[in-house]
Amino acid sequence: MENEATLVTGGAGGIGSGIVQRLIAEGQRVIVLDQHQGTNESAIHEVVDLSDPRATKEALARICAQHNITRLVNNAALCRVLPLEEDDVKNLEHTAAVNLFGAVLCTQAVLPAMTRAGFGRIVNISSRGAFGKESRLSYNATKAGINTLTRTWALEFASRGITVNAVAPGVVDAGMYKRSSGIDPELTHRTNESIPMKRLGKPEDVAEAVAFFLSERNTYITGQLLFVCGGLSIGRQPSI
Amino acid sequence: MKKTATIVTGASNGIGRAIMKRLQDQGETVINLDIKAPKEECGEFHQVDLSRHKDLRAVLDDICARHTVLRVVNNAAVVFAKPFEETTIEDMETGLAVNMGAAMMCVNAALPAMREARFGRIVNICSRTVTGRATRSVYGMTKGGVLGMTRTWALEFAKLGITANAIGPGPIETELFRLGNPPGHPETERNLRSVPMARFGTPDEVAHAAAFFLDERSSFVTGQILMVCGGQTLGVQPS
Repeated sequence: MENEATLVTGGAGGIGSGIVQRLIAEGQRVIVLDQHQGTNESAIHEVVDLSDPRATKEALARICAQHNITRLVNNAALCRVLPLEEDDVKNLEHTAAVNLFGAVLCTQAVLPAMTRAGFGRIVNISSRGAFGKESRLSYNATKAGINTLTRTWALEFASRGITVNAVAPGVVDAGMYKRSSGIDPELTHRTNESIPMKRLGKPEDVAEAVAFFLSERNTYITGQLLFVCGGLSIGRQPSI
Repeated sequence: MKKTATIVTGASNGIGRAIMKRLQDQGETVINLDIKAPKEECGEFHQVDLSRHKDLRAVLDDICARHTVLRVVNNAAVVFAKPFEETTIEDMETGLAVNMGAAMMCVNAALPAMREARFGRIVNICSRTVTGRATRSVYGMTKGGVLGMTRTWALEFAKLGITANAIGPGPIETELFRLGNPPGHPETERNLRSVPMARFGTPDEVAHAAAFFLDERSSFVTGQILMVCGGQTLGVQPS
């Protein structure tokens, strides 16, 4: 297919930039859709505020007119760490606009090209938070939501050669973590100790799992959730 | 002293109605918040569109001024059944507002009383759809979201005597269900064959599970989802 490309949302920083780097190293043409201008010169950068669904839809229409996107990584996410009392509907709406609506709109936009190609790979970045974590009510809700979207889409697109899977990072030493829990050295130490592997994850650990699911050779795995957590979820992972 | 009460959203019909009746039979005061009035008068009722959060806020303020709400059942939901391609931004906004936002608001409204009583029971009606179902992107997304909220509330409230659990109904034969799944229709028959018990469930069977979680004696179960699905999720549930 001509102009074949991979779209990575939130690819300008954190885990996303690790994913972008990895995919470029594999020779993929990568388009980054992010609210910030990315710095990786080998990627194509498109800037949009993903919390604005209508603007996002427009940007996606523009991108999809120029590229045949057959691989999509829904990675962009917003996480505000807030005491429960302050995590209100307003924050839920803002968080859901990025974490859920953004993923839905990207997937809708790329679906025609994937359907034409009879081939598509979608990876949603979930989180261990989907299974519960304090001070992140809205974020966790959206991540549990994306787990269900993963399974719904896997069923709906299964007959078109499109697989949909999710990767749930544990504690990764990158953007989101660094901005929240990572600022407290004592907490970081305790977190390290709680992880069976006794270390935080790296963006490349997550990128490895993403690249696996995106591979053309990955043809019979769909609707699954893979934890990349250094063993943190062992014994605590609920069934859904 | 104000009387203790239970809020059940969407209790004018179907599963919500059955939950409300069950609790009333147990002698509890139950308050129904629904966009439609019940066919027969049955306890305190507030007509409110749960996607209109300003209106909902006013109703909740009024209820909490008159009652000590120690139990909340978030049951009301909007369903969208359409191919993923046809999903609109408006569907997502409405789904989020009713299925998740209203649930958050009801819990937040009752929270001060629950904290003070050091007792509370939250039951969120999720759906077996959280295990995945084609043509249910927005519904599944929001129901998955409710499950994520359930677990977070469970953790946040664990030391306060407040439990939060979820129920995942499978195909339950409500009036609404019969409209969407007419008896004898091939899709209805296919759905029926996917249930090991070879029948659809009744609203009372869901109400029984809700009553269990709401019971004062259900004090060590929190953050869980209980499927009421006639075995439909067996063998398809990832582990």
